[in-house]
Amino acid sequence: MSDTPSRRTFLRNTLIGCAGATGLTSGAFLLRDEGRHAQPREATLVRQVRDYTAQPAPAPQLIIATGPPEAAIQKAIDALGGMAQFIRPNEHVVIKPNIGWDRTPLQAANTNPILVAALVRLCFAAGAARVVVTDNSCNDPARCFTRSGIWKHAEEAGAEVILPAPHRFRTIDIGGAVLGKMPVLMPAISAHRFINVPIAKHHGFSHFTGAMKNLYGVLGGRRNRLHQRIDESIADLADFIRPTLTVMDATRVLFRNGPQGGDLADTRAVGQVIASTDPVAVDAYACTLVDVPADKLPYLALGMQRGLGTADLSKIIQKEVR
Amino acid sequence: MARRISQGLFLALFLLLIFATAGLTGAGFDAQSAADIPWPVEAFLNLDPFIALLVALATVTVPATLLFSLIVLVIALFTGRSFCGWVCPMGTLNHAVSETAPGLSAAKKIKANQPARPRHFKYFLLLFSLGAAFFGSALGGLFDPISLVTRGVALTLLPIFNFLASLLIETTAGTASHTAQQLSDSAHDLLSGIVVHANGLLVLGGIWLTLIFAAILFANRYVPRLWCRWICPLGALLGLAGRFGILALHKDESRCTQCKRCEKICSGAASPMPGKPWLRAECDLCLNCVAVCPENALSFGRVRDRAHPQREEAPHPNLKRRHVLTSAAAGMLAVPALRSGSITSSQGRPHPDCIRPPGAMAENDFLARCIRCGQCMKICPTNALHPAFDEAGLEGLWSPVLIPRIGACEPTCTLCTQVCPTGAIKRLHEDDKTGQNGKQMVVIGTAFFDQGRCLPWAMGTPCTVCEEFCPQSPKAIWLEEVERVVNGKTVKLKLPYVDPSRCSGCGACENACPVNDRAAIRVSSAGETRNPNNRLLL
Repeated sequence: MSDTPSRRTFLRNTLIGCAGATGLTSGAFLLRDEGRHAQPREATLVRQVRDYTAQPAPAPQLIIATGPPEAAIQKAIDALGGMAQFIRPNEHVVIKPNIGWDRTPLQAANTNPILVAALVRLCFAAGAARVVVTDNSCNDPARCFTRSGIWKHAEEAGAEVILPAPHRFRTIDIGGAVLGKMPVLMPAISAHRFINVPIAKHHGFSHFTGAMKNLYGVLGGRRNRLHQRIDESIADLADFIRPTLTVMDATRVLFRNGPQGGDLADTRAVGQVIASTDPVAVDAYACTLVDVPADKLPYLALGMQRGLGTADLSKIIQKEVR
Repeated sequence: MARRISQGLFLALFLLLIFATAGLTGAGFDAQSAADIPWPVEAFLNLDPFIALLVALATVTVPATLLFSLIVLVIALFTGRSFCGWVCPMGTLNHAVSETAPGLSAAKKIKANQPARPRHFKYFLLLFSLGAAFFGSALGGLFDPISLVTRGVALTLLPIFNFLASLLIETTAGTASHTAQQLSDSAHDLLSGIVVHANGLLVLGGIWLTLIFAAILFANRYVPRLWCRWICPLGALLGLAGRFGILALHKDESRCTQCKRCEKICSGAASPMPGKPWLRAECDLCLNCVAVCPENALSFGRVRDRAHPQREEAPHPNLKRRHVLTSAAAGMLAVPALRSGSITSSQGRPHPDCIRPPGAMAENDFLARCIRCGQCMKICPTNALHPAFDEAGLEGLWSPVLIPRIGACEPTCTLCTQVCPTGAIKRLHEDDKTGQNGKQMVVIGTAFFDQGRCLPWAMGTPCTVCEEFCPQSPKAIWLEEVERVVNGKTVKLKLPYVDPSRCSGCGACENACPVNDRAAIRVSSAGETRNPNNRLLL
């Protein structure tokens, strides 16, 4: 029958197919990213650090701004000396809010979307070429990004909103005290500047989740094991990522049943935005807003030991702006 | 030509609705639009009179949405199985494979298109299904073509595409070429939500669905539209409904040269050739025969003599009364037979793994409605719902069960309750499910600790990820702070407990538990709202 290929055709087609497949595979092999494989096999003593701090570093201050989110963030950044201190023209900026949960803004489990959008605009005003907003959610990412309002508000402000997906992770040897090789959300660390925008929340296990704990969102893989040594792993993360700036959303906080909440009765309006270049100081201050004393948080002491900042608020210039 | 356009459009519409069977997420949407689906993605199922009849018989009620199927039924009253030839997406797929697949020579095709005895089987299957429905089981939905093609596309083809697309995206993203990375990035964003599922797309036991769907398509190689001709109970129903249709195939025997072109192309094996009685109940009204006849011997027109059907027509299938009664009786008997073999149905003792989606009715009412279309499984954003194998007994084959280890029930999501075409899963609003605003929370199960596997309980190691992921407020997992001496060292531990009065059985704890093979906290159906017999607390 004419539509049955002859043996010759069959063999020829098979050969062509195999050659094509081999070509594609070897092409992919030649093009493969060495960064993924070239890591030393054994965990090294070299600690990986992604340093996004602005140079020259301005003297650390802790700014506590009160008011509606948009005005408060503006005043807080002004008090730090303006966004131009931190972002130079044409730089790429990552903004890392907490978009962990399938919750709406009033439930205060994710960062306030208005605050995120305002920050995006400030970055563009300072000349940023590209602003990426990303996080690795705990619930279904598409729902978290949508229902938190961050997808909409951040894109309206001009940011590129990037959802976590398997192809966006690479395994990096963080080389921390407990954190070894972990998949890291690449869009979250591929930038010149990194602005951490956590929300102040109660946390059932680590008592308080804020700036340092928010960095969990750049990790993928089996991060549910980190709880076994939660304080060291938080310190390792804060050591790995040194943000340009930390902006804490305390416009509305979750003071119990954290980190998810779910009931409006678990939240209260505080109306503050806290900004600093010192993540440890931000946490040391903000934990008191959800009724957790700073001395209950061992990771603050670990952060101090590693020189990431100070938990002693008398050692940092504090400014309240209204 | 008109028929092909119609088939193509309806198939496209069907596929579009399957792709649209997802929550609305993205920059253009707010919290509320992520919760509701604005369009009737289950439209094709609502138009299916076989499903409506099953549910009507099994429950003695008809959900309002299924009344749309009257449209199709009325059309069938006038034009017989035109739905099969012009609209049905399963029919279109079968048709397409039949026409494109090589394998049958002209002579063999003519032979394959002769009316064959197995064609009666579909009537028996219809009667069997209706008999079972009469005894309270919608298991006939397993054989419904719309249900079949929904399962086939959503639960077998999409996971395959998802796997391929993800592999391609991850491979190109892993190269060092920036252009390739950007391309794969854009491809991902374009396809996500349609074929690329955030959590990977898994249908547990889906290989059986795939094999059956593939076998049905493959059968077209030997007998064109074999499924439609021999098995499809909806086709049988529409064929019977068309008994007194207004259209008939008029044959001019004097012009016929017996070239058999009409038989070669007939999609229904309905004997279009002059000299044989036209089988009204088998005809898809594809009109191929009229188009292909070189002598213009065939034409469709009004029935000429109602009282004396033309000798060229066999208006109804010639079924033996004995066979009719036997099949209906077999359907009726099948229900008690299946239920006597199931501990749930016979003793009312629930199966621990039969965790139904929120809003699911009590088991017997559920089985009277669930047609196994798989829409709930398709739309589940966490990929938590899967076709049951034996969790619900053989009768509940491929009905939805929630597997928390694969995906937890997202606390505020009610998408599955919105797409169920038969009301087996009742429509819930967010506060109906969460129990806010004074409503009663819907419980689908309860979490139990396996203390021998739990890190703090058994191994003196701090953990409690389960508590962090518990979406209840106040939490359904509470912690006892203790000091334990572990290997000579004093360790502060938090021991987790479940508060059964707060647990909704969503499975977030089981899903997040770091004991990665068999979780140290697992949900079973205990305490589910829909079954008073499974209540846990006094």
